[in-house]
Amino acid sequence: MEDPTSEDEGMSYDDASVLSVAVEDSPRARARQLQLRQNYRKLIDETQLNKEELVKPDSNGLMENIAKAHQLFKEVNETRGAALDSKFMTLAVTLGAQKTNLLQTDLVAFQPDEFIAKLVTCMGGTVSEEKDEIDIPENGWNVLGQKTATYFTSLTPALHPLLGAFEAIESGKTNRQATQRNKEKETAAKVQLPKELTNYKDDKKEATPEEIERVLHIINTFYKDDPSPIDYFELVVNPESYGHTIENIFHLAFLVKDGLVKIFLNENGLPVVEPVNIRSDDISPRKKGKKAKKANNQVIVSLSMDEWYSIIDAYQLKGKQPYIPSPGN
Amino acid sequence: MSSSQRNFDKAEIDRKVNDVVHLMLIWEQRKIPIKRADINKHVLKEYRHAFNDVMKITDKKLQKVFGLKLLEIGEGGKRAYILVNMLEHSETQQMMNWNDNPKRGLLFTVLSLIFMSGNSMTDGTFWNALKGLGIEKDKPHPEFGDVKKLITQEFVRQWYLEIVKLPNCDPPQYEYKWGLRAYHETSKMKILEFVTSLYDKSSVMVWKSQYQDALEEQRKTI
Repeated sequence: MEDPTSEDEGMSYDDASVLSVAVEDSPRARARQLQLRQNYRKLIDETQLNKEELVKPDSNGLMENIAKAHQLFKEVNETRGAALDSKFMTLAVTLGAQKTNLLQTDLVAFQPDEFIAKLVTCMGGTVSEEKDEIDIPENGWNVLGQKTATYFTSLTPALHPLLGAFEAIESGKTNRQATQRNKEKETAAKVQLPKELTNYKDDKKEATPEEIERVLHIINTFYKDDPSPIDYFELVVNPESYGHTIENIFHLAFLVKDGLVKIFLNENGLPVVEPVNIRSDDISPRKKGKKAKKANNQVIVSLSMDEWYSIIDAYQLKGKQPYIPSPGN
Repeated sequence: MSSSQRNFDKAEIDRKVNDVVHLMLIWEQRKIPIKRADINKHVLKEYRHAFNDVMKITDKKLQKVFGLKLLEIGEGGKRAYILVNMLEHSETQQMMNWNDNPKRGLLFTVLSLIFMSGNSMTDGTFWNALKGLGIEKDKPHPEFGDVKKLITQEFVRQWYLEIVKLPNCDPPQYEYKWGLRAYHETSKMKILEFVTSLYDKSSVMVWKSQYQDALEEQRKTI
């Protein structure tokens, strides 16, 4: 009779030899069987625990565990042990199949549909049974964008200027911006011409006589109510519009050139404006350039946008009605 | 007022450099690569002969001040500049809410599809796959609107995608491939990492051929 506890050296075993082993029913034998079962359970648990490691293509762990189980099985002579062995084998076979999958070239083939389906899940969406209703939540694409952001090696921020970009992205925009800038330049440039007491014949398009008339009228009205010189900047600055401010400067320049208004520095060194009373003074309503008696000064006034802002702050003009209301008010 | 002198006036060059930096940052809004001609037209103008010098200093400034690198991509007639972020992704970047997230999500999906399918897809297969995301080629999409335009025009203009017409095909067939810009803003390996994590696989190596492909790309860029 074979000794059931003797070790078998070879890897293979003979079915016949297992069947021919007589089942000894002694306390020692039962204890041995118990030990075997415990070993099996340990092996199964271990295999379960390490399954990630075991399925890796370069791992031999699975083979080793199978060898261990094989050794155990040689001694098993009752059903409970055999059942455990089966359990282990089932586990090993499953892992083996997974391992095979990983080993084979392209067997983890990329299926676009599968990929897409997983994306839907990733976005928190659902797909109906018949695959015709795909429901992606409103935030789904945003979520996907955030998740994939880390897989970009370069995310560049762009500049979004608060007041809009002056540089054109499309040529259409350049033209609009360019013409606007050119107009302002024109206005500023023309301010210098009348002050130089030279001809002004090409300025007709910017300063219609009516506009200049209107400004004169406003100045006279204010002066009538309060016969004191008006502060130059308070007069010309329109806190709502830089462009209109420049126009006011321009119109005022005409009035000075024509001798209808005078600008001088008051005791504080600030420029002030006063209408010239044609009646009382010795100025005859003659043509331009004939006021030799009065001091003729050439002054160039320039006002940048920053300076315009500073003046608004200094005089606290913000929100106040401008002396000269913008045309169209 | 404008002088026609052609000296390399240092102050003027500095001003031009600043303008180019400004231009590039704003141009980045559209993500369309900027051509030399554009830079000359909008900023350099009479200083276009100083182009190379200006661009060198511009690159330095962009790097030092904004952490962005000027990259020239393409060759021959199809050459343009893009900005590339030099800084590594930090946690804060992940948290930042880039307002074009949905488009980025779609772009990434498209790039992944193409790469994983062997670097190119025919338009039939491509659009068929997208159906699974509720995207129909000719139907307006609630999030993206005209998806066909977005993918075939905007992404192409931004050099993220390249769509090539296949010869001798009637009716015409197109091939969808990665554009030059895509190679600089992400990598095949990164896509593989994403797909691997999406599928909950243990390693990027499970995608044998794609992995080899990504490795090749890595070797070339290093």
